[in-house]
Amino acid sequence: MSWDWSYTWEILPELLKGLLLTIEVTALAAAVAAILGLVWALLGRSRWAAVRLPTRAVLEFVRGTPLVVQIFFVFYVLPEYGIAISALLTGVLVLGIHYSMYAAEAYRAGIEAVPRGQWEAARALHLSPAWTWRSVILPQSVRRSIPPLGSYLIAMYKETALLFAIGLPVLLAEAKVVGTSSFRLLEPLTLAGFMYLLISYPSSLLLRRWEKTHGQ
Amino acid sequence: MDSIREYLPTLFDGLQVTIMVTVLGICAGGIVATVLGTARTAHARVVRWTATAIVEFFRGTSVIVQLFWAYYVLPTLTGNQIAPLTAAIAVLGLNCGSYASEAVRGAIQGVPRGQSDAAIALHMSPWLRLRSVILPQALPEMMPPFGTAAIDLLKASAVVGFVNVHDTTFWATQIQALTGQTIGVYSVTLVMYFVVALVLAALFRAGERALPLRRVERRAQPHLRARPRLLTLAWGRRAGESR
Repeated sequence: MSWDWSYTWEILPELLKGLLLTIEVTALAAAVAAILGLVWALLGRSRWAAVRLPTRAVLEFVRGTPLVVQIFFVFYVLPEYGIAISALLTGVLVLGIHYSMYAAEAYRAGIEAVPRGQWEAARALHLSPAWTWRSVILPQSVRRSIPPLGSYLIAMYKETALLFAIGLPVLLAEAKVVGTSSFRLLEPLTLAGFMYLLISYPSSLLLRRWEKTHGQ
Repeated sequence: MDSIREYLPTLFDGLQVTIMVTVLGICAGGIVATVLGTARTAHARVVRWTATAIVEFFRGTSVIVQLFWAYYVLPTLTGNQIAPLTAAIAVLGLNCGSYASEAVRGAIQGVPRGQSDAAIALHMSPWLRLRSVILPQALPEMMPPFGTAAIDLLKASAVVGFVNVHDTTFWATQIQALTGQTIGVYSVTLVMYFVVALVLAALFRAGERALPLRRVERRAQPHLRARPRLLTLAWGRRAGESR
């Protein structure tokens, strides 16, 4: 089978539509992950074992199970309790929550990398705990968390492909539908792969460059 | 809850396939990681660049995209159909092996230069040098990221059902479609994966402890022993993500 260029041009708009949705889902899910991740990181460091241990257990469980099963779980189980949510919202929430558990680890490592002296200095200056977190610890730790967070963002972008399983017309889903209806999968699937690569590879190069210039 | 007991044997059949795919994928991935990781430290630029290109290619897209391509597109180019199981194991091995190759490269580069200088002074061939001096010392450093990569592979294997490999997730969706059961089936499925992940984590940690070399040194460097608490699935970030 050889490459058909006219067919390629024909399907390109459909695929670009899928790519746009993919980027939207990634952006929304990234926002969810960035915020929730910090919450988990702080809860996981809580003074009270009753908060700390369940948080860590949930983190381990979500990180130890496949994303696609979690997607199915949320998509099919929630409606049984009368909570009907769209495929788009399911995708954003599951992807966001899943990666928030990884983001928590990135935040945690960043927080633990802040030197002890910073805590002690804040204490010596009589800063309240909230003040200490907001203007001493977090600004320093988030900087350190950016490289791993960036690689999770790229991973999340690639993993949005799984949302085809619940019928969300993301890039891979568009490619599959277009290809199946015309019995030609070569062009759509190859093109979709290139579109994923075309964004994820330069992003990882940029991230590496950022790390080199801002690294410790 | 009663009918879930009825379908449990089916899920366990699927679990066997999941475990088989994971174990074979880990074997394939281990080979891929060692070959690509070593090639990325090679002197010859062609070797290094080829290996890097392969790694970047497999890291740039997700397992499901590669799997669809291998299953639906590759046969139209080569003319013969690939068995779903073969495609699944090959893709998982290449994908996760590419991530883990970064750990191999890092560990090889972490072996002190004097070691390879000494081996050269002893007139060892490059192959012998790699096999009996460099890799044995690099291995303990590779084990934690390999453990993470193995768990990533297990989780990634949940998509093989989409190309008709009858694994746990495949059967879970089938049971759900047939019976309308959701919460029971998917809860059991999630727990199954989690238990396998815990076993994998334990196995890799045991493997790390069983390695003969550099234990003294590791004891002297507490940061190399530092482990996150609790179940210790997370050894840090994903193996081989940019560092």
